[in-house]
Amino acid sequence: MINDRYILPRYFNILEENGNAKYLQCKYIPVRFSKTENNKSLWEKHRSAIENTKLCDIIPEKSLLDLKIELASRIFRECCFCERRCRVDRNLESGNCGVKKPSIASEFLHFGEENILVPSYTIFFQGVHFIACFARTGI
Amino acid sequence: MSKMIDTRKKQGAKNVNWVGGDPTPNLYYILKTLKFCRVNIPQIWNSNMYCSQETFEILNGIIDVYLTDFKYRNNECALRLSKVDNYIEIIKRNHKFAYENGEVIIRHLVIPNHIECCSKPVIKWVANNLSEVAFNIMSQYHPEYKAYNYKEISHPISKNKFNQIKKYVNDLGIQEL
Repeated sequence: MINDRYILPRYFNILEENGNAKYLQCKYIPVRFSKTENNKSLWEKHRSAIENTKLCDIIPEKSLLDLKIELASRIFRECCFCERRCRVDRNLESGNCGVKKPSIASEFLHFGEENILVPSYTIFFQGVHFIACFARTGI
Repeated sequence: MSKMIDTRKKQGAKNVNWVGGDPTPNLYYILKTLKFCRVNIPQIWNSNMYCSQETFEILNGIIDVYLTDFKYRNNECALRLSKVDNYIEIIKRNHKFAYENGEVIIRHLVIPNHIECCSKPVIKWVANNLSEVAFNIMSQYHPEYKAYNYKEISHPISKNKFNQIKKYVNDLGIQEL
């Protein structure tokens, strides 16, 4: 039988409030950037912020999460989230995945996932970038 | 959506499980949601792992657990059954990235007649490269969608064959969920 804690120690720490989810930490990592900067400059700042993680006591004016949102918004306009790399502007059209603007198909407390995950708040989006010929739910 | 995450945690949710289709095309929306979210709850990326390197760099620092799907062990099977190119190179790269930057649960669905070409080599690669992951080997394959057009996968997996794979997993010392 698997030792769940050995494999997923951070996950259990968060569940027991002995550690913070990564996305929360991300909000406390200060980053200085401007929306007018080019992609190369923003990616360099992103890598640097990840390599030299410094957490503030209060939420900074701009955080690593804000930088990630800016980078994601740029990818969204010339989409390469997946390796199909359609390069479409998703504000205007969908790529191979069929997703233009995200749409949530359903969301609920899921009890059918792995034991250590349930109940899991599962958020299903529409659209997928590849589909197996035997797929039931589109993955 | 961020309010819903708060509500669902109060109702007992252990985690937020981003799934599709696939969550990859929706990353921008997910990040904007998390901007307004305050609750301490693990984020799970439930994906086929066909995302780009750029996506993975953005996920680093956001996702706590990668719940991945490792279907095939060669590009021919991936192209034939999922119509996708360069599957193996991308999936291996992304699994290594996930392993270095988060905690990982790998799912592998055993497909009939893909045991020697896919299941066993997938399991062996995981054992050799990602020793400390949880592995969920799944038997519930059922021919759906266009599967009847492919003779070798037009029936469920036999119990005997599935048990062989389970033994193979255990013999390699992989942590099975």
